[in-house]
Amino acid sequence: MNKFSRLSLGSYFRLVSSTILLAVGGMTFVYANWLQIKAEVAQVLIEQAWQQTISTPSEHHKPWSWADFWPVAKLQLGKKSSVYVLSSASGQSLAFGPGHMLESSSIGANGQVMIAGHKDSHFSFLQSAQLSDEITLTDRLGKVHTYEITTMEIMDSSRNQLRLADRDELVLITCYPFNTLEMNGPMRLVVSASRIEKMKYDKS
Amino acid sequence: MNTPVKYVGLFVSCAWLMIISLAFSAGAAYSNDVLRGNLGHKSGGSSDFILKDGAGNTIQALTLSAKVDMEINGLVNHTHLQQRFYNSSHEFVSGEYVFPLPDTASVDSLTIKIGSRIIKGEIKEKAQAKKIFEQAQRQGKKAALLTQNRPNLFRMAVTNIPPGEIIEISMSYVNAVEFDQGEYRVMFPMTLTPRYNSSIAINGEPGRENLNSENLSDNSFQNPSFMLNHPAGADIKNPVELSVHFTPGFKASNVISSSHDIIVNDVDEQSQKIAFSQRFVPMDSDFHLSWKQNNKALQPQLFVETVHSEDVEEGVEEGTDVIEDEYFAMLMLTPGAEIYDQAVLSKEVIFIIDTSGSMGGDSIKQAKAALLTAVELLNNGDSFNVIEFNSDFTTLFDQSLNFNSNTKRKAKDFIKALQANGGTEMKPALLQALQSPVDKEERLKQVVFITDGAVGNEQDLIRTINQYLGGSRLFSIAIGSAPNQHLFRQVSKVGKGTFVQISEMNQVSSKMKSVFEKISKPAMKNLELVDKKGTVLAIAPESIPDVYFGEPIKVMLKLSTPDSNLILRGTQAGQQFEQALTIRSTSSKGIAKLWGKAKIEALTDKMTLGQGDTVILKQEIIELSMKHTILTPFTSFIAVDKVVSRKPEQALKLANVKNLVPKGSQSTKATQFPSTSLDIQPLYTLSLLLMCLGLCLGYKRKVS
Repeated sequence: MNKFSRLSLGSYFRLVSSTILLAVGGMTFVYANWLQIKAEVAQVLIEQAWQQTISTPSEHHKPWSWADFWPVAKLQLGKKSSVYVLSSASGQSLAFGPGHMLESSSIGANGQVMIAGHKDSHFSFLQSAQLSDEITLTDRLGKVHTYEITTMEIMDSSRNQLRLADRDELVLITCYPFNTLEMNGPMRLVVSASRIEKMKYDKS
Repeated sequence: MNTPVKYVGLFVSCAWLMIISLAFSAGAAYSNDVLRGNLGHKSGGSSDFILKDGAGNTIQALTLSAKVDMEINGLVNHTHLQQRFYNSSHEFVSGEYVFPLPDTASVDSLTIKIGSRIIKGEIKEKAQAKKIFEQAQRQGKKAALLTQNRPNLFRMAVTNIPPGEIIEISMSYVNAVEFDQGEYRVMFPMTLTPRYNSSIAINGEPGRENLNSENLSDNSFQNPSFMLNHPAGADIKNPVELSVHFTPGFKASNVISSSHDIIVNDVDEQSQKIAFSQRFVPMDSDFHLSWKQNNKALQPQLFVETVHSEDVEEGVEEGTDVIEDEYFAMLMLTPGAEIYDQAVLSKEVIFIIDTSGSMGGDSIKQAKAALLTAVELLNNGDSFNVIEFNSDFTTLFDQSLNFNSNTKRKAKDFIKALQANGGTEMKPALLQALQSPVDKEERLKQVVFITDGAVGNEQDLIRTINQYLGGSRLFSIAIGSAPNQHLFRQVSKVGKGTFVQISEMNQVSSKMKSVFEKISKPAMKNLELVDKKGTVLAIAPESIPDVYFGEPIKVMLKLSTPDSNLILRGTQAGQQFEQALTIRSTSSKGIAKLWGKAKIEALTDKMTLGQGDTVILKQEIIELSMKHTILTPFTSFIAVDKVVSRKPEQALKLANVKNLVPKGSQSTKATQFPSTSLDIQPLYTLSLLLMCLGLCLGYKRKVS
């Protein structure tokens, strides 16, 4: 009885809320880590699927049997960061890698190819991207397409839509700013790069 | 109490600091290590010849304009399509154009017009035709090669177009006029939907439809690419003009186009002339024309074409002195309401809903709404079950239960909780539905399959249905704006059902009602045609499919005599019935082609289902293709000029003709930004805040 009386209602409440706050905070922390670990670990399986894709490009190879996406290209900025591009830009597949937006031209075709990725995982390297940096895109047939960054725009996605244009270019989309406390922010970084490779026309 | 709380607090804060530092170092390492990869070998880029203007916009080296002449005669539509390719560059150009035609079209001719000369194309085996084309390309001769890549997707390859010149290529096809709910329809497709593009087989995205392994290995096939039409005022890209010579064979009313502004002029008593109100329109939306018949009596009809054997091009002539006429007929059944006044059938309905990741967004909403509507449409006396599948499947009940308020509520709760997630493993779910125990009350089992059709292995799906269907019937609800029509048509054929397409929320209710009308009324089954001697007639598709309420059906057949006294026989709701057929006197030219096409389709289906020897089936298809001059996936039309246009030292560049992005498709001209943040930083901050707050509260306890 004594013990209980010493523990006033206020202190009791404090103790409970302290524990709850610590627990929720801890869980949030674990969750944030889980998101990153998931994004990272999956790369091993996606890489395997990509190797299979390169050897038999006529079929698609899912990184794991219950995935609803598969790697379609490899994207590299400059000489540093490379990532595997997945077949869809749905929220589900973006958790595992940048996704090809189906509305745009198919990868390897002449036209506007759009790829979206998370700013805080696979597309974090766009932080260091600069005008006239080179971006290469390796398609499933092993063909390498080279692009050069021509514009970097910040757009408000709550006011604008992503315009599709009739241009032979690569467009990378990620959230902006890279370091912010805002959740589900409306701003997007849109990096456009046009093809620089000299094309070979003749077919013997 | 004090000390433990304090220690806990200290321990947590230490752990917190450690984790934070670990997390940040991991984060820093992450971008450097994990994302590192190897750059593949460099090779030549794309092979497309593109001119660019100052703004970086592409100018097409090869441009297209088209002219469509339709001749509608009764229920047969002959279409003549002219494609004019203009080389605007200063080089010789070789180009490709991937374009759609109705999947029912029997393409039967190809010609090139150069000045006043006309070069007639021939039908050859695909590989041989390609060889001839490539040879002509090397020799510098103008040539055109027309191939069928999919039932509704064709490719025109044109080569050695001199700089600044136009090459005019004409082709023609026959198809039957569509008929449904008292309305007749024809359509001419003008472009493809880009989403469809992403699923086109070959060297782009993996095929949804790998009907012919030949197609898969054909690496020369390029994915069609797209361009946007310029806004009003600018030149029309891919312009097309159209004229329809319209002879419906009766007094047609409500001759309208839901897609274009048209002008209808009377030519004489029987026919009318139809054209666009503007001379040219961009090829960015499919042309639809529909009309109605005032006469309400919708009797089964039979159209007959007589073909004298010498008319049959490249026919088998050796050793036959007797010239035998062949009679090809098209039977049209349009079951009206009066045949269907029987009581509504009790049934067992098993719904299968696709909840894979590809159904995410609007698709799953539409699918759930469709399913909820369907559950409402069940009657007492029916039994039902719901199966959802993605990587795995879950059933609502262990086995089908009678429909009542209790099971209905359970079903609704189940459906509302569905979410799109995971892969697409449809086979186990389908087997569960088809192999479930036979209903005690012997109700007919109807399986309703709700999906976007983005399934992994189509052939496997078709084969599974064929093998396990038994007495059940399979209906599909195709969800989305560009579902794979051909797949659903095949599923319906094999599953002995039908399909409807739902692309918008406001269609859900009416479309589901029409499906349920078909499910709930007894079908006309075991249909056969007999002549007056009582002999059953052979038919091009192996048998006449079951006929559902409001679902018209066309059957192609070959008659031994032009005798017109035919009887349709079958059962309905267990009762035998017979009906005499009337023959229409309307000119029926083209029926033989439609028969050939139906026969080829039946053989192609066999191939898909793995019935019979592929090599023999392929040979049969090629023979039919040659005999009736119909383009198939195994044959091509090839036309080569005799004159050499390009000298060996002159270069030849490759240029492809792009399709226009479909008009009005908001999602293709502009699209929503995807969500591209994991919100890692806000999450860390939040967790930090929460834990700090927790610690503060804990420490205060000690102070007080």
